[in-house]
Amino acid sequence: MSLVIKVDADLAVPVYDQIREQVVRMVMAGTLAPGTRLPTIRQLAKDLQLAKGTVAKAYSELESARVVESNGHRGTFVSAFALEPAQVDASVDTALADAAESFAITARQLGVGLDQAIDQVRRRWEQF
Amino acid sequence: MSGPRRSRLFDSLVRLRWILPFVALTPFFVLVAAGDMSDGSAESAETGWVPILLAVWFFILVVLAVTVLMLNLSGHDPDAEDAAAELVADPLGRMLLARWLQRSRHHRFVGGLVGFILGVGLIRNGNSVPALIGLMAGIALGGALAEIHLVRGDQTSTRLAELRVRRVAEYVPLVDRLALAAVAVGAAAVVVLAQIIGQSGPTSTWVAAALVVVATVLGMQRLVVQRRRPALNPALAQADDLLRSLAASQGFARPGIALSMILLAQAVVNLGTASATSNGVEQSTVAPVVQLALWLAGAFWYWMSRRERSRSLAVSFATQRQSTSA
Repeated sequence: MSLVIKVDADLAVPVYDQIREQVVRMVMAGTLAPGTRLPTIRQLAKDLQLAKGTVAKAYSELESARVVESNGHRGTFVSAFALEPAQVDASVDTALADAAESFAITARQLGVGLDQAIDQVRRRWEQF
Repeated sequence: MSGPRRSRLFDSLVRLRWILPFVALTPFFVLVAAGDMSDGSAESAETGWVPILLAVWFFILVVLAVTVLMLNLSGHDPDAEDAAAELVADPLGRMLLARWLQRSRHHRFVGGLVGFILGVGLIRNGNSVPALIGLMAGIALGGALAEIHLVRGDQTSTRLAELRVRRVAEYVPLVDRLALAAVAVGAAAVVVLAQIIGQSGPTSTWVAAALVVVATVLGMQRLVVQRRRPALNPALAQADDLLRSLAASQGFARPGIALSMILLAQAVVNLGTASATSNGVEQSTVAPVVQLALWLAGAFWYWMSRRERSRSLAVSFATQRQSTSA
């Protein structure tokens, strides 16, 4: 499964914080395994059309929180994050429930039925 | 693909553009031979039509040459769509690949033509090396220029990207990387040899030119691999991977490798001549043999089986993608 990161410049949350939050989520869920190399600051900044400083700040905060570790010229790697499987499951459940809640509220506000809403989820799921 | 609809006749002409001149040249040579045989013979009066036919056929050849040139310069390349269809199944990916093939081939053709004309202008004392260098430099430069374009940014506030490292080694075949390293090592060896023999000057210039080409190729490969890419669906990502790989190898790197080998060959032959002149001895056969070997290696890099290679690359990226999405 490809790991996609999404940022929205219009949100009140700073972009670097959005990156940090999503990386932490992926590491906690185990989708970003320990030892995985992250893209370079330059590459991610280019792909997301952001200033290098924004991505550098996100990486720096992740490094301070020991979620990732920088290995000089070799790049930035996911740290060995020791979480119990039960903790991982709980964090995944919480994150998913939060996202589902926001989605369900928006769908109801738009007056969309469950089937149509799920169909949208399926389509987005297959997009990446 | 966007753009004006072309007639089938136009497409057929474009497809036949390289065969037509050869077909047309055969009767021309037959007529030349017939004209030679008729000279001074008793039947020359009866074969007086040969020069007229020859003139007419020469005119047809000129028209054909101009047509072939214009067809190539038009940038329309129906082969590109066929080649893309063989490599990529996804319609959007196929369109992207066809557009890249068309752009890259067109730029390489125009670059090669301009380089060749400039090279011919530099020919002195019947030495055709400038024409060859001009041709190869033009093709390599054209291929590189085809990769330099502005990718229009996403205007929306929401952006998506894949959290995956794109390394040059994943996109550039090992043989190409080895060839570039071999040219760099060869250049260093020539410099050391020149220092030992006590010759530099033109040899250093040729070596420096070869190294500049190697450095440019490496820089361009990095640029192509690191080029912006938003998050894409698996089929499109696979097409994009293939496109980057083709661009970083066949697009400009292989003509660049061929060019650097030709430049290195010139450095070697220059060193051999300078050494023989300064020592007052006859030139040994080593330098011309090395030169020939480098020329052949350069020709091999340029003409290396390309479509087969593209196919195997396409299969490799498809397998890679399947294993990632599993």
